[in-house]
Amino acid sequence: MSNTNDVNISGMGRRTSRTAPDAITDVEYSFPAFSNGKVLLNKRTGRLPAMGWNSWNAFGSKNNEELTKAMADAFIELGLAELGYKYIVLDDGCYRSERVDGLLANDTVKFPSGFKALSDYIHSKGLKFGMYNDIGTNLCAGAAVGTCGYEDIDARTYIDWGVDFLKVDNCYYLWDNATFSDEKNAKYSYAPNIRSITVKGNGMNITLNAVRDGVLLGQGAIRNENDYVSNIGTFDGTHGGVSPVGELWSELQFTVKAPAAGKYAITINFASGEEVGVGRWLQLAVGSVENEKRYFDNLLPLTETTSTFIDSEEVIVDLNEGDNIIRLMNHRRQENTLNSYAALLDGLNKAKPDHDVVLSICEWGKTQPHHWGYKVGDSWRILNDITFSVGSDGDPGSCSWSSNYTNSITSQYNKAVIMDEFAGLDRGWNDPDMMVIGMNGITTTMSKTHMTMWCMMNSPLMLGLDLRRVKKGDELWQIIANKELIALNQDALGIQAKRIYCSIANDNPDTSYVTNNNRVDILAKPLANGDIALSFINLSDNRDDNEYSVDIERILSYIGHKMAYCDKFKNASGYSLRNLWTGEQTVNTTGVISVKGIEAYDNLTFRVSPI
Amino acid sequence: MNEKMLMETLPPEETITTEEFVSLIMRSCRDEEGTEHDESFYMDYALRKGIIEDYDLLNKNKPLERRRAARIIHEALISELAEKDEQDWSAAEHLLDLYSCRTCVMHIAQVYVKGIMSAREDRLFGPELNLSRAEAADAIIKMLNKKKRIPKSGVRTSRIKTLSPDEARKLLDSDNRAMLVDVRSHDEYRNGHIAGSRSVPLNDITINPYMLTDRRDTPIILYCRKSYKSAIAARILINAGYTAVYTIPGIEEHEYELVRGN
Repeated sequence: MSNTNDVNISGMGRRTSRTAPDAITDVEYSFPAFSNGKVLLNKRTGRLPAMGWNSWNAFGSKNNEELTKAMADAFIELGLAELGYKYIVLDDGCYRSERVDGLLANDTVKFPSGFKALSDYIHSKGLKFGMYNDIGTNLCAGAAVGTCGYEDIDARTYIDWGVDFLKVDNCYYLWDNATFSDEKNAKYSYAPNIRSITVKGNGMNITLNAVRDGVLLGQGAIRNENDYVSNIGTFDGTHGGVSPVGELWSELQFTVKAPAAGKYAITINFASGEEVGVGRWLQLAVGSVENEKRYFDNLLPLTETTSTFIDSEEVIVDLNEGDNIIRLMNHRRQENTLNSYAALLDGLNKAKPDHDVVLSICEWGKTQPHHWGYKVGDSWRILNDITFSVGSDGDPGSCSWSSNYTNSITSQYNKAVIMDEFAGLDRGWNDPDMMVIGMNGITTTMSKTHMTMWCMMNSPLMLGLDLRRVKKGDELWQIIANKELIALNQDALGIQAKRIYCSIANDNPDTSYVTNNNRVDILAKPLANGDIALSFINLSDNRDDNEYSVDIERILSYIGHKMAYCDKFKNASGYSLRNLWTGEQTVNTTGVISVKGIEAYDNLTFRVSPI
Repeated sequence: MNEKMLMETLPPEETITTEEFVSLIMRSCRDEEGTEHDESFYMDYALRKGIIEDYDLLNKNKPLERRRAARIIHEALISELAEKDEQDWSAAEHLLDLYSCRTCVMHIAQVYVKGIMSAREDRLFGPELNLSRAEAADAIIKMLNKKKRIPKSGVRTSRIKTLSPDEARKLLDSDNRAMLVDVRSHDEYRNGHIAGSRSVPLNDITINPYMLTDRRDTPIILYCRKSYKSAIAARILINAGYTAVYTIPGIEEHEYELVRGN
């Protein structure tokens, strides 16, 4: 396999190839390592969710230097900096469309003074500066300045510009069929259709049929007409209908009884393609995922059609005497993407070993990054954008509470709310996208609940509105500057709330993927001082007159093991409840906390302290 | 610039460059009789007004892709013609490739629902294809003259349609995306179901109506025992935005050939 990337220029990071997917030789970067909890490249852990402002929802590609400076000024004037908001992030649409002498450069109409000057301005206010790029060849809006193949150089540029936060997209990605990628890149993301394997050696010569003799692991693979198996790969996670919980990949497994330990030759009868479900990249391993050895990890030839089966060349493997597990799979969708983001982190590390750059992974959940993003990143987007109707100077843009596609507050929430086990101080955060508070299309009540959701879920709190429209103390300000809500998001314990009750899926409220919004959810979040936060959320468009109760036992059964002082909480004689939106204080001695009559789209959020 | 002039300027089949397209739009919008500016004047003007981006300037002599044309038209509608966005752009979801282009979803949706640009071929907008001169002329004419447009209206008002078993079979045979769904329990399904159907109990649909498919226009044919659960499931799917939802008689209402097992 062609790979030109083992050369490491001294003092510079690693570059990914633009001609072939990099060889992945380090097992720490491969699928079996995703579950080991170890970060790569000394990624800094222990960071709380980032807070700041991002230009995309407010201004789309029409952000400019003057507007960005105005946002930095507003951070100070509105007191947002004191509340923890600190990153000012330029999204897409800022760069010159091509590299200049191989380097990134600024769009001179929108950013005439350059990024270093803007960075200095932002830093002079005590704030932090963020930028945007892509692991593909181009940025989503078109500019041909993606980091692919330039990771080392670009990382150095970002360090030179004083960048503190890097949001990185996956448009025009070469090694998966991502947005704007060549659709034929599906050849890298899916295994070919497999009809059978033949194993020869030590007097044995057996052929095993994929459907009759094979076992499908994970989910998504399809048995076709009792003959062959297709759709071996990783689910595309950008589809709002698919649960993020569970096995999001598929493998085809055979068990072979070898007469003796030794070398065996395996040929695979396959038909390949370059479309979703039928690809050309195959991985073959012997052993289960916990203890595998990979013998093949490469492209197979393109067959005449996706049902014209041919035999592969022989793959020589070592088998033990007795039963051996042979797995045919393709985890490259995840592995390639991780490899590209890792190259960027490597570049930053080499450019400045003690850097403190936040790496915000933004591939919209495509490759199920909640399983691997923690290794190199500080957060990972979980879905497509929260809105497609972004604003511009003078136009706030619009968003929606619920939508039949992924672009709404609740579609982001519905997915993120069951992903709490993937988040944490030692990993990073699920990112349901920048907030849409201040855009058209949602009411004040929805905005408050949106703020509650993002704070309870430890989501990055990135504002997405034109802050010149906010006055200190006004309605919008009171939502984005709610100190007690922000304190939940930034709580030192760093635990995402768990859904402990869902009115339409009460068996497994913490893991059931619920997209029907006619319901009430209850979330519970442990806090560092031994308190918990409790939210009752009515997602529906009707007032709910039912009474919703939750007792301390139920709360503890879900989050007790994560709480700071669980026994103290459990044995308290009563609880003081502070409503974080109204400031109202009540005392509860029954141990049953209940609310009744939640308005449409509204939430009641309490800080519950043991007495 | 009038319609006739536009058509004459543009040999229909060839592609059009960004610069030519922007100049045409700018001249047409500004309606400047007699004043002749060169193309760079219009490019510069459009850049400063935010109608085009640095990217367009850099690629000004290359053929214009349809998604970039949609963006330029959409931006010009807002900034030059003070035209507001169509709030209900759900009709654009008819396009199978609408979401293939994240940053241009809204641009394509707006020019499509307003009837300024149409699909290239059956339900495909073709965002990455080059705009032809004929398409450019047509789009500019429609952009300037609302009467020439054929707006696409929303499609979310669909009702449940009941099919006979024969009609359902025809639909399943003619559209390979169409799915037959048994909404009874898994156990009932195992004890006997219509061949080729999937088991998705009503409760699962209630919790996550988007689980069946991410395409809202996929034909979904539902059945149960006595058409009670299937009617509820159909209502939920329609409320979730699915536009081709059908029911057929239940297995106790019609003599189907049933198969057992998973």
